[in-house]
Amino acid sequence: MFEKGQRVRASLILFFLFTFLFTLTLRLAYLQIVRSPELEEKARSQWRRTIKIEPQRGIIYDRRMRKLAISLPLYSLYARPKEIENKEEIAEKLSLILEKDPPQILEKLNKEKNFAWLARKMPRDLAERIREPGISNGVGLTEEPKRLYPKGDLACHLLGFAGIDDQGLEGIELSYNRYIKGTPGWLLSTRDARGRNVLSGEYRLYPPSGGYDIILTMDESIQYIAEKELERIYEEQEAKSATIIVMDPKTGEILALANRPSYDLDRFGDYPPDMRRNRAITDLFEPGSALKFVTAAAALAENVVEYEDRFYCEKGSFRVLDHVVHDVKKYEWLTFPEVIEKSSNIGTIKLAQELGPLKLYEYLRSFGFGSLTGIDLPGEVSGVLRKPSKWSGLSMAAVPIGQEISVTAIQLATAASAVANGGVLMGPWVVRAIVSQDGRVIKEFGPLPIRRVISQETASRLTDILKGVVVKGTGTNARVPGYEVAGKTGTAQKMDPKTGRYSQDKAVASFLGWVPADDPRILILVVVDEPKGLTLEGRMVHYGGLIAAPVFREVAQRTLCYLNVPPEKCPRGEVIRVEISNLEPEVIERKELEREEGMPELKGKSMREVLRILNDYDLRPNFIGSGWAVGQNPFPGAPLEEVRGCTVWFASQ
Amino acid sequence: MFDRRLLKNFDWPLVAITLILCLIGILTIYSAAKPYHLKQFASLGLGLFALIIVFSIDYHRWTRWAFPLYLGSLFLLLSLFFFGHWALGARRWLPLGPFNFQPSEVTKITTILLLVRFLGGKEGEILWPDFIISLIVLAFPFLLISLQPDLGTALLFLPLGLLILYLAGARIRHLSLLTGFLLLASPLARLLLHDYQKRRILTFLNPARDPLGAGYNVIQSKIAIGSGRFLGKGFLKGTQSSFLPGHHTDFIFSSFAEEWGLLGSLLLLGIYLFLIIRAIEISLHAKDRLGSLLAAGMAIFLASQVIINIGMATGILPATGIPLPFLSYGGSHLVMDLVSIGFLLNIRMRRFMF
Repeated sequence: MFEKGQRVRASLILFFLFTFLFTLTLRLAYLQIVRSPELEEKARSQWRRTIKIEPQRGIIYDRRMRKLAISLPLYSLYARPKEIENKEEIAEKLSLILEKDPPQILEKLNKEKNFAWLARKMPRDLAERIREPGISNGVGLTEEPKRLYPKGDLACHLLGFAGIDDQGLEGIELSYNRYIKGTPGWLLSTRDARGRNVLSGEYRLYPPSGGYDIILTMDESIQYIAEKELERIYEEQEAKSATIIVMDPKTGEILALANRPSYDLDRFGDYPPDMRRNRAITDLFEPGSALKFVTAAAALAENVVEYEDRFYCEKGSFRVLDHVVHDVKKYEWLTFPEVIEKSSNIGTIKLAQELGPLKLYEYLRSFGFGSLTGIDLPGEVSGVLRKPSKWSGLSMAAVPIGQEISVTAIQLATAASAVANGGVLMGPWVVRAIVSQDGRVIKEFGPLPIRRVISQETASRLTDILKGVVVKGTGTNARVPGYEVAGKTGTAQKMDPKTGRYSQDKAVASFLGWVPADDPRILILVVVDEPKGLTLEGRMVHYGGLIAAPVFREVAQRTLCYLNVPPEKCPRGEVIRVEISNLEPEVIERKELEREEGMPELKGKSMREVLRILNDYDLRPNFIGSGWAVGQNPFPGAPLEEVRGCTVWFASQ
Repeated sequence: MFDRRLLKNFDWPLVAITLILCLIGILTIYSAAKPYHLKQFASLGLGLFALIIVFSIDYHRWTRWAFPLYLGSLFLLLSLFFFGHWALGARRWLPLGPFNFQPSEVTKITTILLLVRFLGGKEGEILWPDFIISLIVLAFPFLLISLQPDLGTALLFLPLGLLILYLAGARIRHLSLLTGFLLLASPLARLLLHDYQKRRILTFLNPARDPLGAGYNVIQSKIAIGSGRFLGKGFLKGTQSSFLPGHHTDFIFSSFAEEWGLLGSLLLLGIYLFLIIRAIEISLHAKDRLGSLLAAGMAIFLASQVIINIGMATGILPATGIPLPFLSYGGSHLVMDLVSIGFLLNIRMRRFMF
């Protein structure tokens, strides 16, 4: 019980109390809102001054667990100066190993710190020498990983790379960085505002934990085959760029993917971004005739055409409004399959007219053009496919033959694989599984059916027509002895940005095809941008059938052999005779041959024996691997008059 | 001795709010300095026991015992010079088995008790002799504690004593004379101050002057608080405790504010405000002048420590070793904080008993 005067005093005290608490509130708001960004940064920098230990990035394997990207542990040497007694002696010894001046090392050892780096990221052999007795007191080693790509530039665009700070910057390294990266560890030495020790001077180690390993759908051997052939055509044709994609059309798995120009992953910094771009998914081109299979598929599916239907091809030049469409040859009447086999522009445009723009557009969309394929690689673009409402009068003379539409290589390959796969479009993918270092499966991926584009029957009828392209059409250079191939050539004149007209000497030559045609194991797309061309009948031409198809043949032949796919049409003794050099061979000769007359069986023989046999046959040997022969190309019994060389695969056991 | 009817006026909300504060303290200690929370838990048990004893005995009886209790605590302070445990450059603790006992904490309460008993008996004006006697009551603990040396705790007796004198009705003239004298004496005190004490005051004025030494705590405390931002880093997510000395004792507020942010800090301030308003209410409604003064003394005891501690953690007051009531790690002060709550309960439940 207070008297009145005291109550006044009490309320005065209360007033001061509120003032103080209000001041504290303002002060807290000032610290925790106004100054918080700066103070938070200070707090973080105190943590950063603790030493971060990089985790080991996960390994990237191909589908057969061959290592494509690894992290090599390198060693860093640190000192705990306070624990070292004979500093001069240790500095002397270390200077010999590290090849630094003793005073330089001594300076670091004399620091009033708990911790000092003496050397960062040195190789193992150097680190081993430091482990020698006598210099271990107060000096220690930690592992710091370095990313290495043992295969150099192989699959560089697919793998991508990780930067100096071990951050994924391109390719798989980027898109799966979250899994590959791992968690960093910390070497914590208590430090204070001046960077010196205040507390007990403890240091603690929180070890890093390594990232997950990635298993790709890619096969290193197929990738190698594909890159070798791609490299050859890129060099030969002095092309601006070139791309190859090998897929399993039934699952959408990417078995190989390569671009030229390429770069060495271990020295990625030395190359311009232009060479590091994964053109297969980031670059657009007009596909030209290669897209005609979509027009044909739509026409077949919509029943607007029969096999026997004939199209008048206007003797090679056809006026649409003020524009004239040409064919390579002056065709007159062609059946529907012949239009595709001979890749007649005029015939295809007439075919598309039966179909109408809306249906054509619908099928192009359905095959995936104008939208992302969703491949698990960074930087994919969706391409350009305008709506029919925005088409001009000329569009129906352009879109059906692959002009006025821009696609990526991955879109084109994916669309074609829908036909190869019996009509179901499969999403392309490059990662099979993510596994932890102790072998647990973290994530597994499987085929991703997107939609049915055409019926099974339509797909097989279209495949029959596309077989014709290779047997007797523009794609004969893609024939693979012993196997039926379905495919389509593409020769797209490039738009000259200056004149706005299609250029005569700049083209994109392409070939897409799958083999074996009716039960495909591989689908290959080859795109060569601005090849210098080949001389045919006195003219410079850039035909996809001449430039890209042979690449398909070589890659397919060797890949089928590698995959042990048995030749279907040629049981022993029966072969197909092919004329590879002619653009349009009309004849297929079948001949009964005695087995002894063809290629000898080499399987199970040693290298020395194989060499002797091939010498007897006067064949140029091309050996891959070592040990005993496990595969060969051409296959046993192939006719010898076609064969000049022989590739033999060897393996131990 | 104990009338069951008293429980009708038992202040359950005050007990609840006290327990909530103690729980916040234990959780923050758990987060910032793990094994210590167990010991704090034990101290809480001890403190609650003391609280029960304190409110069970009528506060009039307690004030009758004020002089012997005051003398006893002075004796304990004296004994520090013979048996005291040296730590952090001072003798502040008496080793008592597994615990270290801090007599200065007890002295805070016994001094208030004696002061209140002396002034509570004076109806009307406080005359010169009474004023001087009050100052002498304050001077003994002040000297003994500042000789430990623990100037921060010693200086707490200034606001404590001045405010109680002011409330008890001391003349403004006397009070201003005393304040004037203290201001004049402070330059002289520089001669008497230990080096570390001078440094502390100077670095309070400019923390960057000595970032490693005395300024270090304040800089680190501000970093911890500021990095908590609006919502805080979350319970157990604090990172700065290893950089912040006293992160579970004097600077526990910084650990709390780092993890709970501005939102949590203001909530905590709100809880303290509730507690102090409750104490003032008890003071205003106490049945007699003695009760009013004693309750006000306890309110001032708690409020001044909250303000000084948080002011220090946020860098607007110099760093002194004043704990944050109920939260800071330390058995002696926690027990005495709960004793002060015991007195408040004691006064409130006897307000209608004549």
